[in-house]
Order: sequence, then C-alpha cells, then structure tokens
Amino acid sequence: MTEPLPPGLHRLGVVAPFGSYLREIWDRREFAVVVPANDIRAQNMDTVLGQVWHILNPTVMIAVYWVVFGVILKTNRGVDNYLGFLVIGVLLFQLTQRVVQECSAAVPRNEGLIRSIQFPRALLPLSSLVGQTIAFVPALGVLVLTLIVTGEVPSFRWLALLPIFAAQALINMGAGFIAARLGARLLDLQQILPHLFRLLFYISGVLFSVDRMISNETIVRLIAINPMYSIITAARWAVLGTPCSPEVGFSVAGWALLLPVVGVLYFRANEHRYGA
Amino acid sequence: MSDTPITVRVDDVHVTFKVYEDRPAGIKDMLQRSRRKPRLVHAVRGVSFDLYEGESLGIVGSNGSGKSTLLSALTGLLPVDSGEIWIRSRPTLLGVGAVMRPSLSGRRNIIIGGLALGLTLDEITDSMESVIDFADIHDAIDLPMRTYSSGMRARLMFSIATSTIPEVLLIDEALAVGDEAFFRRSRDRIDAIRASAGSVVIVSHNLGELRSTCDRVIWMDQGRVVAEGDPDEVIGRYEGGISHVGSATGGTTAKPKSRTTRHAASPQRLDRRAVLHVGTAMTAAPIQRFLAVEEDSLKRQGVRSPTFLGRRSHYAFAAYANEQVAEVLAIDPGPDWAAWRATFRSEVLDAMDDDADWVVSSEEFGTRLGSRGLDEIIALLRDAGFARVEIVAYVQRQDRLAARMHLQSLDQGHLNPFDIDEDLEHSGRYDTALALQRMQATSADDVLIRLFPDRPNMTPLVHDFCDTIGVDRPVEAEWGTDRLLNVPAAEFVRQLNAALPRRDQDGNLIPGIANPAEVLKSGFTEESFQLATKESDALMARYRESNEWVMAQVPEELRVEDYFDPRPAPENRPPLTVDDAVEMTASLWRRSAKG
Repeated sequence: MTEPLPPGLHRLGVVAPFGSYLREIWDRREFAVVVPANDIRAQNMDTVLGQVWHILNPTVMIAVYWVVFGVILKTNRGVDNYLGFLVIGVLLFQLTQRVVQECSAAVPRNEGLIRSIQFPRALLPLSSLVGQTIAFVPALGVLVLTLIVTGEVPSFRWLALLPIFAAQALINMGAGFIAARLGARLLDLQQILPHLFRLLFYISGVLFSVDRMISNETIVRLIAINPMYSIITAARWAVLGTPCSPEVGFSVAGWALLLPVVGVLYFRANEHRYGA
Repeated sequence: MSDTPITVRVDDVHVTFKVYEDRPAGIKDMLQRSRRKPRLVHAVRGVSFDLYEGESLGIVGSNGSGKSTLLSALTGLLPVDSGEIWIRSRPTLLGVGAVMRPSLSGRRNIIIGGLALGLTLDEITDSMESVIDFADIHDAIDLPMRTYSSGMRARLMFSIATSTIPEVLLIDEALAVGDEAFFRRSRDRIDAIRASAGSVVIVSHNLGELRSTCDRVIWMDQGRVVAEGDPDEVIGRYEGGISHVGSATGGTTAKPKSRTTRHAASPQRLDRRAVLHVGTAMTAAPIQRFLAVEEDSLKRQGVRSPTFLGRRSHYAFAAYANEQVAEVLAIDPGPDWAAWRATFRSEVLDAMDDDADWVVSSEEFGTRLGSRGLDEIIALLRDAGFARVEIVAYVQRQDRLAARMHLQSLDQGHLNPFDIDEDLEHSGRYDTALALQRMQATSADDVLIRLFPDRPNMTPLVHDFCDTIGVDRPVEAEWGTDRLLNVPAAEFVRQLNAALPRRDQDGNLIPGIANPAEVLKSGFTEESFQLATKESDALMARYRESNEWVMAQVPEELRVEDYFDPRPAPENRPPLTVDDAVEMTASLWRRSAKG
C-alpha cells in the first residue's frame, strides 16, 4: 500500500513503550497477588495436615540437613551456631530455587489464558514470584524461631535483613523473568533447572563456610561473585555476625540492580511470542 | 469508509509455518533430519486489508484456506514472514476450545480472566452475575472448567473476554458451538463493540451468520484473497465457486453421495487417507494403562502428545505411538453433538491443514454415535478431501464391556443425539459385536480391529483367533505399541460369535453374541445384575439431583470388576450373595465419595 500510514497505529511485534508496559502491569497488580495466593491455598488442600505443611516442610528439611551435616558428618567445624547457619542458607537458597523453577513453568502453564486474553505477560512470572514469596512467610517464621531457640539475641543489626530480603526479591525477579522466557520455548528447562540449582547449591556455601573449606583465594573470590553466596553470606552476617567482606555487599547490590532490569527487558523482548 | 479511522491494517502479509514444529525439534529430529522433516506451509500469501472503526468483517473460505492462520498472525501469535500488520491495540482472539485454567471452576476462571483484563476484584464481584448470566452457565459455574462441554466453554470464554469491551475482537468459529439464544446475545455484544468504535473479525462456515452480522466479507482461498466486498455478493460467489469445485472433483472420491456441497474440497488433498481410531468404553482403561507403562519410552522416541481437542486423548496417543504418524487429533464429541460437529467442521479440519494424514477419535464414536454418527463424521472427512477413510476399532473383552456400557448408558439423557431407539438399545443391550457391526455398516472403506491381548481371559480367544486366521500369536507380556494385533473386522465378528458360547432356556449351548444382560447372567447371578442396575441408577439420580450431571461419567475407579468377578465361577465357589454385593457396592460408593 502506498497511502500514508493512518494515525494511531503501531506495528504489531513492536513492543509497547516500556513505561506503558509497566503501567499496564501496575494496573493489573491484583492479578499477581490474588491468583498465586489462591493457588497456594489450594496446594495442600487434599492433604491431611493441610496448611500446616507450609511450616512443617521447611522444619523437616532443616532437621534432615542438620542431622546429616551437623550431627553425622560434622560439617560444622568452626561454626558456632551451625543450626542457625544452616537454616539461613537452606531456606534462602530454597526460596530462589522455587521462584526460578515456578517462573520457568509460568508461560506454558498459562497458555490458555495467554491465548484468550491480552495482558502483559510479565504478570505470569511476577505472580510466580509473589506466590513463592508468600509461601516463604511461614518458612521465615521457622527461620526466626530457629535462630532465637539456638540462642541468637535479636539486635539492630537484624534490621539489615530487610534490605537483604529486598535485594533477594529483586534478584529472584530478574532470574525469574529470564527463566520464564527460556522456559516458554524450551520445556526441557524444567528438567535442567534442578540440576543447575544443585550445582549452585554446592558453590553457594549453603552447608559449609566456603572460606574455611576452600583455601584457594581465586576460587573463593569466584564463588563470592555468585549472587546466592552473597545473599546468604550477607544474611548470616546480619544475624549471626559471621564474617562478611565488602565485596559481598557490592555483589548483592550489583545483582539486585542489574538482574531485574536485564530480566524484564529480556522477557519483554519476546512478549508477542508467548503462547504461540 | 475512507474517512473512518482504521483499527487494523494488514499490508501484503505472508505467513509460513512448519507443520511439525508446534514444539521445538527434539534431539532425535535434529539427528534424523530425513525422517521427520518439518514441511513448510505457506498458509497466507500476500493478504492486505484495512479494518475500520465500528466495522464487522467476515472471512469465508474452505478448510485450509489460511483464515485461522491469518487470525493467529493478527494477534501476534504467529510471526509474519513478510509484510506488515499495523494495529491500534493488540486484538483479542476467541477460538473454539480455549480454556484458561481447566482444573479451576468457571467462577475462578472469571476472576482470573477479569484480573488479567485489568479489572479490580470489586469490579469482578459486581459483574460476576452478569458474566455468568451472559454465558448462561448457572448450575455448573462452580464445577471445574474441564467438565464443561465445548459449547459451555465457548460461551464462558466469550463472556469473560468481552466483559471489558475489546478494541478489536477476532472470532474464529467461536459462535458456532453456541445455541441460537447465545448467538443472539453474542451479536448484541458484537454490536456494543462496534458502537464503541471497536472492530470485529469473524471467521465462520456459517454463511447465514456472516450475512446477518458482517458489513464486509473477504473470501480467502489457498492463502489469498479471492474476493472482497458486500457480504451477499461475496458469499454468493463463494457458494457458486464451491459447487464448481465440488463437481470437478466429486467423481474421484469413493463415496460422492456423502459429500455436501457446502465446503470446497481441495483437489491436492484427494490422495489423503484418514483413519478414525475408535474405541469403546472398555478399551479406554487398557490404553491408559499401556500409555502409563510406555510413556517414558515413547517420550524417548520423540512421540509427543497429540493435539488435544477433547476430554480424552489416549486413542490419539495410542494411534500415534503405533503409527508414528505425522499429525494426530484427539477429538471427543462429548455429550453435545451439535457443538462438537461445529468444532469438527472448523477447528479440527483447519488444524489438519494440508499435511495431516490421520484423524483420531475416542470411545464416543463406537458406543454413542452408532453407525449414523460415524457416517456423518466420515462424510465430513470426505468433504475435507480425504479420499479414503478407514476405521481402526480397539477391542477388548466382551462381557465386562457390556456391563460397563450398561452402567454408563444409564446416563442416557444427553447421550445419543440421533434417536431415542438407539439410546434404548444402548442401555438395554450393547456389545462389542454390535459395535463392530455398526462400524462395518458405515461407509468407511475399511474397518480394522485392533485387539488388546493383555488380559488373561482374552488370551485364549486371541490365540484361537490367531491360529484360525494364520497369524503369529502376540507375546502376552510384551503387548504394547507394536504388539497390538490387527485383524479384519468381519472375520473377528465371526470368530467372536463362534468363540463365545451361551445357553438357551434348556441350558443347551448356542453360539452367538449374547446381549449384556445374558452375558452377565451366564457369569453371575440375576440378583447381582439387578443390584448393579439399581445402584447405578441411584448414582445417576444423585448426580442429576446435585447438578453434577455434567461430570456424570461413571467414575474411573468404579470398575465393573468391582461389582462382579468376571471370571467364570469355579465349581466350589459360593455364588455371590445379595449381601456381598450390597457391601461391595457400599464400599465403592464410600470410596468414590471420598475421592
């Protein structure tokens, strides 16, 4: 067609401006809270213990790790409050793993919704994030309780947990967006992710203090770049007073600023293809 | 019209897609390019049009003309190869069979859909009743959406998606599955969209619908626009064009009399073969079990789930596994035959564009539709350009089939769309041989039986049969994808008749297929049969009372073998007493009530 382009039209496939994309998400913020909250309530509906599982699960998991690594293998060399050390590592790590895994399935699971209604697809990984974060609240209770039971006295330094959690939420969001785009096309990702996280688990110092187990400076430094290590180390510093280098703080802040931006841009670049 | 603002501009758009690539190629595909080469389908070839505010545009065309592909491209779900699509806002597409969260209730889906559309919870609560009213789903609104008929789904989806007025609405046959009243309501809503400066595009085979709803109609054929303009004129030319194509190619099909003149048959597809995989209620269970066992190895072989358009897909999957075919559709008519037929006409045949060779069905065909239903489907397939239509019937044991069918067919109110006599026949007496005879009575070019030699009781029959017709006996423990036994139907019926003895009033053996009641009686007592009848009646009554009848399939865990031991009673075994049967039934109810 040679006639001039009529006003008010934009080309399909060209994503709407970033600002209006964010506004559309904000307009639908209830979706990202209501939908996952209901999914979580429905999760354990058929089990005998029901919602108690949300507390029982992290408790039992911590107990198992503690028995294996604290009592049997005695990995706790050099750590004063090993149970407290463990509970922070395991639960924070698990939160990120759950968010990323949920996000990787967010698009395929909601194909029907995507195909029938127009809405910013970023809502789907976002609701996975919100859902898993809500589900983390009981685990957080277990975490605090364990710390107090093991003799930690709450201090003002504990307040540092708030920015650390916020940073983790941002990191989770960024990683979740990336996983959501990859998982939309590559269903194999859901199989691969547990293994990747298993690997990450071992290089994040979840079970043992990295600097005490590994003497090679370069490796320790490499491990320190890993966001999970940084988050866990920072949280341990806030609560247990374990050593924490300034690099860890930079790493946390860096990842928390970088990942969400990269993640949402990466996810949005594929906006029109989801559900195809 | 040129002064009216434009909502969508389609400018010389071409769309090509790979037929097998609705999933990324697996490793096996990458290594063996030669075996499963994705074929490129150039579905839309240079289409241009403008869509104006307040306009309702219809698109007609034979199956495979590219209509649905064009709509997918308009929503951005399919990328365009060349050309450009300009939009004011991204269009909403309503297709047949779409659901959001099948496992959640209709009400929850309304909430999720409303939130995704940007409504607040309060707004959704306020509009809830009107959405439900519009969809006309009152009793079932709190049941999971997967239990809905295709008509109910389409109505609810339409109601949700238009609960905020979309700027551009694309309707792909979604109105065809609703009834007349819904059609009128949906037209009001389409008018509302147009009144608020929105546009509507309707793809339909219902030419009357297009004539009465559209301002302008586009006729597409083989991916191109053949004509565009006034609805009456374009549709008139379209109908004329069809009868021309029909008379040119009709002679080459096997059964020209079964063709309708409504749809054009694409000449290039006349060498295609369609195979209906037909089961009976009793064969669903072994196929499911087989799939459970074989699933992993199937996945390793790169077998994917078939395109799923019904409630069950195991026949499709079994067929897929057995034939390694290119394209499989599981199409389950369900209780609403009219709605299903509309789905079949549009969605199914469109989805099978060009390269599909197989159609797969489920148990409903064999048991519910009877030969007339099958014939109608065969006619639809021939209509779509399949020169040869075959039936593969899955057969299992005979006596329990009959009993199970009896239980299921008690829910006959919405079963058979054809005539009440057939329904009575279903509930009164129905057996494998009758089903097979029905299939043979259809206009299919061939009927093949596929046996499941998985049950010990079936084995002697299968072995005898194999010996008689001179084929190798299947290895009992290894039945599976390639171990199913294929035999000609006529021969099987004859053998089955000969192999299953029954007794006359004097206790003399007479050969032939017994009716279910007699089969049951020969193995069990009259009382137990009566009891089963009574209990299943009560179950169905309860389903109806509690408005759960949309789910009134007999629960999967309620197996006939739980009522009756299907083995012939050994001499020393005491007969089943009424008390035993009552206790068994009661425990079953308890179990199914819990589940």
